[in-house]
Amino acid sequence: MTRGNFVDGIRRKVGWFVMLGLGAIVALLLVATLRTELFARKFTLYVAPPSASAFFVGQEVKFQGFTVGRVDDIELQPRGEVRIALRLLDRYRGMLHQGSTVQLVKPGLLGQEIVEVTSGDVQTAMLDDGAQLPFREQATLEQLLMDMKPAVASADSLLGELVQLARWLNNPQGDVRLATANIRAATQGVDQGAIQQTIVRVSEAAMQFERLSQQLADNGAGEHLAKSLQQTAQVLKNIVPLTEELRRQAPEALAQSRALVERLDDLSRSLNGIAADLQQLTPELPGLAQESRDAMVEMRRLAGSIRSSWLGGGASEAKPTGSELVAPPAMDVAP
Amino acid sequence: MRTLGLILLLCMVACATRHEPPQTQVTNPYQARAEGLARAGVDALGREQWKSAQMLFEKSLQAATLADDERLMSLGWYNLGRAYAASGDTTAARAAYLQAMRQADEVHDAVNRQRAGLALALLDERDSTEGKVAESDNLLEVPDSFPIDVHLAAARLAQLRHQSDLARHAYGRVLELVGQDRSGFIYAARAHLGLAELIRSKAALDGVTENSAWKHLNQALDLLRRAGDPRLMLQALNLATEMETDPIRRQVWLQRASAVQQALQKAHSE
Repeated sequence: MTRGNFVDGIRRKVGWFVMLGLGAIVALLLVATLRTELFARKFTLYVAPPSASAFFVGQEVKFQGFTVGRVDDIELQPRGEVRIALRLLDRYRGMLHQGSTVQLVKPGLLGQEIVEVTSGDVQTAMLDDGAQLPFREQATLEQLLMDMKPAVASADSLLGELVQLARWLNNPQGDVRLATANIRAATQGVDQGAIQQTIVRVSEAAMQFERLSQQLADNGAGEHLAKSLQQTAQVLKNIVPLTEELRRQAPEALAQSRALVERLDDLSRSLNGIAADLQQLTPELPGLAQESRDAMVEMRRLAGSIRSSWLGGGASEAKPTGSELVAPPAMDVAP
Repeated sequence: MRTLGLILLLCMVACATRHEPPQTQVTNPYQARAEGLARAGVDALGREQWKSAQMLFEKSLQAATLADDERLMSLGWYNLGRAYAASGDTTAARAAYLQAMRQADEVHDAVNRQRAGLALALLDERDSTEGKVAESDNLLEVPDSFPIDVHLAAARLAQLRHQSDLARHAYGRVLELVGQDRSGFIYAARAHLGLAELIRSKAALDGVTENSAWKHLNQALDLLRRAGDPRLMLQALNLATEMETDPIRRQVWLQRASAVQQALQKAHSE
């Protein structure tokens, strides 16, 4: 082998090595560009949120959990408005329609917020390049918790009272159960329509409370409310047992059952307030409060009918106004 | 003797067979829900949470529709109208009152017919749109058996139309109907306030003193302190400021009214 041949061989090998290296780099670049959709066709959408603090350039834009683009540019307009350009892959454009909105979503308690775009009304035309989308503000978890705190705190104590009331009702040795048994015994063979109806109502109310109690147990509310239960149990202890009064049919019975009605009135009013507060905050929560309120209304009706029944003396001294279902007329006092 | 015994036995049998067996009362859950939601809506309206009241009345109406209870539906439309009117949407309020009237007509519910008619007429008076409710004059004649709120609305309408005698009679009827509960106290306070305004305007015309007007106003203030209704309390304090002749005491009333107004505004902005 001559020296010239040896040099040529080395040159060829170096040439091949360089070619392969360059080829590998080109291939990697190609793969990288294909993976990052660098040369894919894109279109731009704009959104004008009240603040740009949660946005940054390069932030992922997701649609149904898939990354469909990124935040391309953030700029402050001459009139102080924020304008954010979203660069989205053109192949997803067919999925975005008129009525589509943009919102910031936090995937968990920690981590960055992501920009999410919604599909809009699928019956309408797809979005044009350069369209401006409305920004939908979502209450953050912190805000929601802050807003709910007072309502939940009062719900806490009232639901506690309800749990106690439910236990009181469900106790076989409890006053209402005994009262029912006593009424049944006292009215056996006597044709007293009102009393029979009262018994039916007692049973229905007890069933409603059983259901409520179960619901509270399912939600773990019973354990959570243990502290408030202890406090509120005291309130219910003040309700003097109906049984003895009913058994003795003494004049005090009327006064004691009136105390029960008044207490139920108070609870019912407070529940109304809480249900209204919860209704305003989240649509999911008020179900329980509504159930409780319905049960409370039923209990009040029951207590009222016991008071005015044959055994209660058939009298009702404190006349209610009876307008609680009707909004009072306007008196030029509302703003 | 035997015949007498037979007659007695026959009488007893007749009595026993005439006695109807007790009917089992079943609670319609949709009806109960509609009533519960209406109650919650009225409560929210009292706390000036217009949006919440609106939402609760809408749901109540929905439940009444599911229960197919036309009386409750008519009442639902009226309540919804009140929530719309309170939040300032008079167009929606008018439509709701008209729907309440139509629905009440269908079930011959004279009470809710008059209730919604009065609410519509009061809205017209507030907006100074005369003649919108052609038959509204008949609305002022309320049968004594009607509920308290209808009498109060009629009293207010009569007062706004300067029909003092009718207004005084209707306010008197309101005071007869009030119960011993919070709602009753507030209705009584409204009636006393209305009477104080009536007497004051008459006294201003006749140039006489307003002693009985003060009596009604003090009663209204006393009831409002017990029952609690800041918006109505503000109206009463404003009236006291207008009626007071002594400059120092007038200043005191004014300060109290301003304090309530500021507290109300603060409560709304929170």
